[in-house]
Amino acid sequence: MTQWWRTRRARFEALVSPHLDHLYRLALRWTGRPEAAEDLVHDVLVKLLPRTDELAAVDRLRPWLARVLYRQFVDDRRRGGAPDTANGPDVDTLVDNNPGPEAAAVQSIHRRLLVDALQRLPEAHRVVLVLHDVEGYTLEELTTVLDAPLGTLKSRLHRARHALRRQLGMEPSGT
Amino acid sequence: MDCDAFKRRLDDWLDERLDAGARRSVDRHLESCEACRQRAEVATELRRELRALAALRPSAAARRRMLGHADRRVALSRPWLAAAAAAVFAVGVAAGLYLQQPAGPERAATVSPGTARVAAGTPGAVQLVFQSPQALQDVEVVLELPDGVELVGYPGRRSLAWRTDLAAGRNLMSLPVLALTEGERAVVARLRYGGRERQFQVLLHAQDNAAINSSGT
Repeated sequence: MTQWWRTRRARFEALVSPHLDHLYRLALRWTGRPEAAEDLVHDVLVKLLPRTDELAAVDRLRPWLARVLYRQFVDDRRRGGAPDTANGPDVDTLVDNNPGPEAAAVQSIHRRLLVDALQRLPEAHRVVLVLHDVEGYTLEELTTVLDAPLGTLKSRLHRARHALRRQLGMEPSGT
Repeated sequence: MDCDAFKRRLDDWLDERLDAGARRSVDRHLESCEACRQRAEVATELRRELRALAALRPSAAARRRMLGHADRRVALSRPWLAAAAAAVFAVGVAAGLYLQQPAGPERAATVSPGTARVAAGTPGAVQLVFQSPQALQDVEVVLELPDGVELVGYPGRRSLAWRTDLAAGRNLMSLPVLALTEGERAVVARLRYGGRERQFQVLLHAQDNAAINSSGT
């Protein structure tokens, strides 16, 4: 039994580990807190472990896992379990290209302001923006991940981008 | 195509969802309209910055916790923990706040509590150092800039706010500032946590570049 369990767990981890960073980033941007993000991902993985065989049969696991994560996030919000996302997240380790002290300062402050502005977006807009503009999903893929019509998602994305530009003071004059 | 039509197509243009004919119309409009070119550049730049957020990686410890290999941390969410941390914040954060110019071949580092010298008209990185007796999560930082001083990349903005965590001990925050003209001005930094606020005022002495070099500092 123990060997069976170890084998199953190893198989499960082999399936999900390549997507762990991605799931964590989604959870972090949606919840706004590193600890809440870890909890969300952990809770999803706990639920999925018994479904290892099902996972192994999924054609494209990345959007499939994103969909499950999103549903868990929504369920948590309905139960009131997720923290207030108006609080900005910590900035975790970032791979950067060592641009030099002054450029690094600009990059750091810009990134902090960007992340803070992102967290201030309405949840529905932030979810779409993160999936599309950060993680690179197409709108067509998101109709499945988020179970929403294409037109609705386009509208949310448009509003999110506009709101983010305004929050950051990036709207050109005359807009 | 007019500007309103371009604005409606901006997202599709950004996402390369326009057909060839529509794309040609947009390109022709951008050739002749400076305002819409700016809109396109801003949207493209923001998209690039958002895409860069995908470089974030959780720590190895966080990965182990998510996979269930390690006990997860207790989040600082219990009220009594938050209250204790807020009390510590009120007493001890930023006891050592000061400004420091980075040392370089053209000027020696100048360190004095609450002051910094910069060259007018030249962007410089001004270091804020916050000393915190313990780790604090989700501290709001508000920076208020006087007239004539800007944060590089945010022209015209008098106030900027963001949230960050402070580690126990020394926390370095580097601000890229630009003093537009010579003079002495006060930059105000506010730290807010647990319903409490600490305010710090730092004096920025902006001098002519030649004056700074001739003074040897």
